[in-house]
Parts: sequence; C-alpha cells; structure tokens
Amino acid sequence: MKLRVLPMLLLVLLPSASASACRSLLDLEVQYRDCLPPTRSPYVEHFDGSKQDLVDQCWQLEGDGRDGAVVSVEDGDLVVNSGAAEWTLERMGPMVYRRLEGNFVVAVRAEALDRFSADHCRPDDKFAGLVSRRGDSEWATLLVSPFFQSPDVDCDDESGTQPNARAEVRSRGWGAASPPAADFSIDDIGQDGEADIALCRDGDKLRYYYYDRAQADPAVAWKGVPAGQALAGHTVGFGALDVGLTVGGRDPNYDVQGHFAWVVFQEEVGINDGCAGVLARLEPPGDD
Amino acid sequence: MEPPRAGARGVLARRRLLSRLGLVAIVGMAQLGSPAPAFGQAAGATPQSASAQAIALGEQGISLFEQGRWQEALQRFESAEAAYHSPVFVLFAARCLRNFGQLLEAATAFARVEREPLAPTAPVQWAKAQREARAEHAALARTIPSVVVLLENASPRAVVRVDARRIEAGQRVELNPGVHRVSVVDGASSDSRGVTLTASGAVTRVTLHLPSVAVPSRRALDAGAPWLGWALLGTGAAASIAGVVLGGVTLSAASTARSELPELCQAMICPVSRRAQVEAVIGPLEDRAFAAGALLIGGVATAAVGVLILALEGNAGPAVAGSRPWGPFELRF
Repeated sequence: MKLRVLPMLLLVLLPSASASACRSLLDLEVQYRDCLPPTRSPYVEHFDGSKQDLVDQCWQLEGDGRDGAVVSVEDGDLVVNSGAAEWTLERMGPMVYRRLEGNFVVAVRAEALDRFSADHCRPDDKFAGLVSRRGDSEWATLLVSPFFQSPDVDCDDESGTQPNARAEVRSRGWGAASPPAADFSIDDIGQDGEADIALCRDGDKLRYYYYDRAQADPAVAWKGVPAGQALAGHTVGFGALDVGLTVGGRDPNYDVQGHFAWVVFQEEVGINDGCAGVLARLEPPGDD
Repeated sequence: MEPPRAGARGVLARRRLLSRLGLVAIVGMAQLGSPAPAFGQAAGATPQSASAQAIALGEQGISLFEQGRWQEALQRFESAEAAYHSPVFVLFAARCLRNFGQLLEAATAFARVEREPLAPTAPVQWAKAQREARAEHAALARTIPSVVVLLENASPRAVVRVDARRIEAGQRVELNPGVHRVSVVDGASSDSRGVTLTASGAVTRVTLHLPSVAVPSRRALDAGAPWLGWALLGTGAAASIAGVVLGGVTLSAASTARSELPELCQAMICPVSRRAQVEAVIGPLEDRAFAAGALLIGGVATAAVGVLILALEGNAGPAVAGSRPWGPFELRF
C-alpha cells in the first residue's frame, strides 16, 4: 500500500516543487515601487511620454485638478493650465516638480500662452516657468511672461521681431520683496514668447538664469537674472527643495497656459565648478 | 430335452441358499401378495413372476460371486434388483464393486443399504443385510486412497483435473485404486503427472510445476500489469523530453525578456502602474517555465514509477539459479 501511495505523492509533489524552482531559475522576479526616480544625470525629459510616465518617475503633480488647474502632456509638451492658481502671499500655483537634495541645475524651455487664443499678448501677471520651494512660506519662482499687447505688436507673429518675453523672479520668505512684486527681472529674453531659463543651487544659494540665444558661444549664453548680477539670488539653506514647473494666473480670467518643451535636471554641481561652470556645458537640447 | 427335476435334497439346499441370501423372504412376501416391486419394474409383471425372476437372477449372481466373477455377478444382482427390490441384492452388488476395485461405487452402494428404512414387518435377512453393509462400509472406507494436488507458480486462474474430473488444488480427493492422471492448465502453460493408487487408504500428494515466466504471482498482479509500467515509462520519458525542450526555449526567451520590460523599469524594478505591461511580458514566460518544470520532473517521476512497477513485476517470479530478474530485464551470472 505504501509502495503505491509514495509514487503517487511523488507524481504530484515533485512536479509542483520543481516547476516553482524552474520558474525561480528564470530570475524574472520583478519588484514594484510606487515610482522610480531617474538615475541618469543629466536627466533630460522631452515629455514625449504620458503624464503617468512623469508620475512613475516620481514627479509630483501638485494642484492638478484643483481650482481649475489641469496638467497634461500634449504633442511633446507638458501643458499646465493655470486655473485660479497664482503665486501670492496667500496661495501657491500648481506645481509639477521633483524633490532634489544638494546642488542642482534645472533648466526648462517655457512659454506662456493665452489658454484660448494661443497668442502671446497677455498681461505680465500671467506666466510660466520654474519654481523652487522649501515650504509653504519659502519659495521662489523664475517666470516667463508674455509681452504686453500694444498697437505695434502682432500677438500671433512668431518672426522674432516683436518684443520678446520678460523674466521675473518672485519669492516669499527668501527675498526682500513680497510677491507679486518681483525681486529681479529682465526683459526681452527668448524668442516669440518662448525662453530657456534655469535655476541653480550651489551650497545654500539659489540663482536664476536665462539663455541668451543671441550669443554665438554657448559657453557664455547662460546669463544671470538680473543681468550683470550673476551672483545675486536667494539664500535657501541646504535642505531638500521641491523644484519643478509652474504657471500662474490671476482673477478674473485664469486663462494662462504654460507649455514646457523640455526640462533638464543636472544634480552634480561641484563646489569648484559652480553654477556657471555647469551651465557653460549645458546647451539647450532643442524641442525634440 | 426334459428339464431336470429337483429332488428333496436339491430343494433343501436351495432353501438354505435362499434363506442365506434373504431371497426366501422375497418369495414369501410375493406369495403373500405383498409385493415389493423394484423401481422401474416392467408394467404388467405380476409380483409372483417378478420375484421368481429376481430369485433366478440372484441365484445366478451368487453362483458367479462364489466363483470370483465379480462383474458378471454384479450384472446379475443389478438385474435382480431391477426386477424386484431387495437390500440383499444391493449388498451383494456392493461387494462385487468392492472386489473388483470400484471402491467409491461400492461405498455408495453400501451406504444405500445402510440408509434404507425398513418396515417392522421386513424380513430379518434385510435387517441383517443392513448390519453387514454398515460393517463392510466402515472397513472399506479405511482402504479408499486419496490424492492432494499442489501447484507451484500457478495463478488463481489455473484449472486442476484428475483424469477428466476438475478438482481444487490443495484439497483431498478420494479415488479408486489404479492409475490416474493429474493435470493443471494455466493459460498457455500446463503440467501433468501420472499417479498409481492402491487400496491402502493412503493420501498421496502430487506437486505440479508451471514455468515461472508465464505465471505472474499475486504480488506482480498487485503491483500492476506490465503494460502499465511500460506506459508510465514511455509517457514519463516523452514528458521529460518535452519539458527539456520547452525549458530551453523558455530560458532563451527569458534572456531577452528584460529588454522587453517597460522603459521606465530599472533592472527588475518597475513602477507599480506598469504591472500589467510587465506581467504581459513575464507572465507567459513564467507559465512556460512552470510547465517545463512540471513536465520535466513530472516526466521523470512518472518514468520512475513505471520502472518501479516493472521492477516489481520482474521480481515477483522466483529467482532461477544463476539469474535474477530485474524489471523488464534478467540479470544472468
């Protein structure tokens, strides 16, 4: 009897155990995480995936769907509709950001458009650009605004002849001024309302840059905001910062739309190299 | 020619003989009109004529009996009994049977006389015949020989016979003295032997042998038929080969599976939102690996069981000197 039962047990147990062993031999055991931050540096994001791709790479979408703000990825651009969001003493706008430790350079190609007409002629309190935040009362934005509409300006013309965008730095808790007043600003940057701008933290300093497309030498094309004050900026401490993309609007229309063609995260900024050294090697990657 | 006349002396002698045989009682009963016709007595025959015929046949039987002509005497006594029943005729018939070696038939005849109920008015010779039959039957029983047939390597299907009579192996069977043939047939195998018995009452044991290769033992039957072992062995081998092939294909596919994972996966770590995509790549491979492992090891186990069954089958037979059965093979040394 035992002689019969034992082979039957073996017939059942051996294949099951061995099949599991064979499956483990494949070494295809996949582990899952809520998100996986990119390990490459620099990390260049062209937004040619989906919004879920950003979430899977540990991007945080703050304010998406709140107060009319909407984050989407369309035609290779990250698009953020402002809704009622604005950056003031009382409130913050939507943020699409990553949390960064230590030194970094973050550069982006930003463009602020009218949400409905898609032209660039908006008051300068409608903007799109970069934001860095340590807490609810400590943040700074480097924003590109459309140019003011005037009889001499064709808002739909993208020939590069009309006045270009204005960049402003506004901050709370770190600067002298209180938003919406600008700490620093510079006019006529970029082209056709589109500009390449950058934030750089080196030690406890956060500095602001724009890319001057008129410069023949890319090594010196990144310039500080304000102009001629490359060492200006804010003292933000050494802790982690939320750094990302944002837009801002204001009553009554809330109809600005920020378009971001790409963003670069460079998280290796040497002490001796400094922000200028890193930026000297950073050529805007283009829209693709 | 005139028939001889019986004189007074001859009449007295005949009366003595009839008295001795109990035949006189038959005559007396017939003359008194109380017939005791034998079973099957001819219709229309009167008791007087039947008894006279029986007496005549009995006288002939006695004469033949005294000459030792047993079979002829038996014939007369049986005819006399058929004409007119008397336990005396049956008793003498039994003696004839005994004397020419038909012990079993004689015992049956003695028993018949013993068991016959007698009326209170029955002749004393009939009661005397019963007493003599009982004594002679007991003596006869001690001389009847018997045989016990034993089998080696036979299956439960084996058929054992003594002469044409089917018997059970291992059981004692009474036989008449003489030469008998004992045989066994088991499938395509058989054995037989002649045995000579004497009227000694002895029990003779006869052992019949069958070839071991043709006789699977009960143990072998319990372990399973050979076809089952071969079937398991073949199936297991085929499954093992299939498992190896499938495993090889799966391992080959697995080597490229990492490149087919979603782009956002890092090594074998993926965002949880990509689980469905990952499982679409990995799942079939895992299923195939599981199937390959099950086929491979299941096949090996199945084949092993088949070999085990065949080994039990082979070991079930008796070991022959210089050889040892092992599974489907026989080791010779």
